[in-house]
Amino acid sequence: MNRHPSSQRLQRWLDTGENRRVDRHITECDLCQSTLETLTKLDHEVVADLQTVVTAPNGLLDRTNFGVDVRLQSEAAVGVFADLFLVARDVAHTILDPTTDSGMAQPEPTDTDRSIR
Amino acid sequence: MSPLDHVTDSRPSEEQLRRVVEQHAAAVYRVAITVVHDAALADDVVQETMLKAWRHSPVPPHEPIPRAWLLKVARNTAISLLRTRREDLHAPATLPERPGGPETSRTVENRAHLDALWELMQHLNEDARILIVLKEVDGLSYDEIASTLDLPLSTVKTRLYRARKSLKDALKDWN
Repeated sequence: MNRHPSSQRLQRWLDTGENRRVDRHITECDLCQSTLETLTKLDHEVVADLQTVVTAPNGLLDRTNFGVDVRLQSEAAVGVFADLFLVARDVAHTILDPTTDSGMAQPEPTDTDRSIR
Repeated sequence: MSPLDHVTDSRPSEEQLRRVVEQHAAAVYRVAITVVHDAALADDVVQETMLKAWRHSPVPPHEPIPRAWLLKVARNTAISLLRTRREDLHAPATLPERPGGPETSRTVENRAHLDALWELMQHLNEDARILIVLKEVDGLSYDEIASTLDLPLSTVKTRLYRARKSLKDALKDWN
């Protein structure tokens, strides 16, 4: 499409999204993009109201910093717990391992053992 | 002991995290509330996004975090949290209360007007809402929006034209 679509045609394109030729033309045409900017421009008042409706309630920074601290603290606590669990597992493994002499009851000596002595 | 003291790798320091929160929390909240429509959940999104930014920043700790990247993380986090908590949410038809804020003295009429605008926004699809907020409220460039939403530049422009048109039409009908 070499000729620019009329305002009405651009309006129709906005409403329906139909017409691929217009679609392609708009993608490449700065002038039509500028027309569409004008056609769809929001009033200052609307923009100001939009700003208000999506603004965070007071205290966002405090709530965020507090929430982040709490989550990091709980993650750190879980990390410590996991470390303690691993240590406990290693200790239990050492105590219960029959190949070590760290407290596990030794088997009764057999006759063969006695004869060697 | 600070909660960050156990961290010994090259992530940003606690001070840098605080700075990111200070600089970007408001913009992240705007993206979050636009997606989730719930103030408490939007707060959770902000916290989660800040932790992700701290853990997975695409730039070295001393460099500023790219806004488009952070807002993309915020949007994805919001969508993900919304999916997991959707069933717990009540229908938040009105704006969150802002006790002590500058709006305290706002007239009932203005409040009703803002509630109506909020409701109209909720009737737009998520893409349209976020495009409007990123462009009109946060003032992002088309390139930044394309990067935030992972969309081609031309798609951003055409969708934004239609989003604004839809909002204008809705406002006209409401008035």
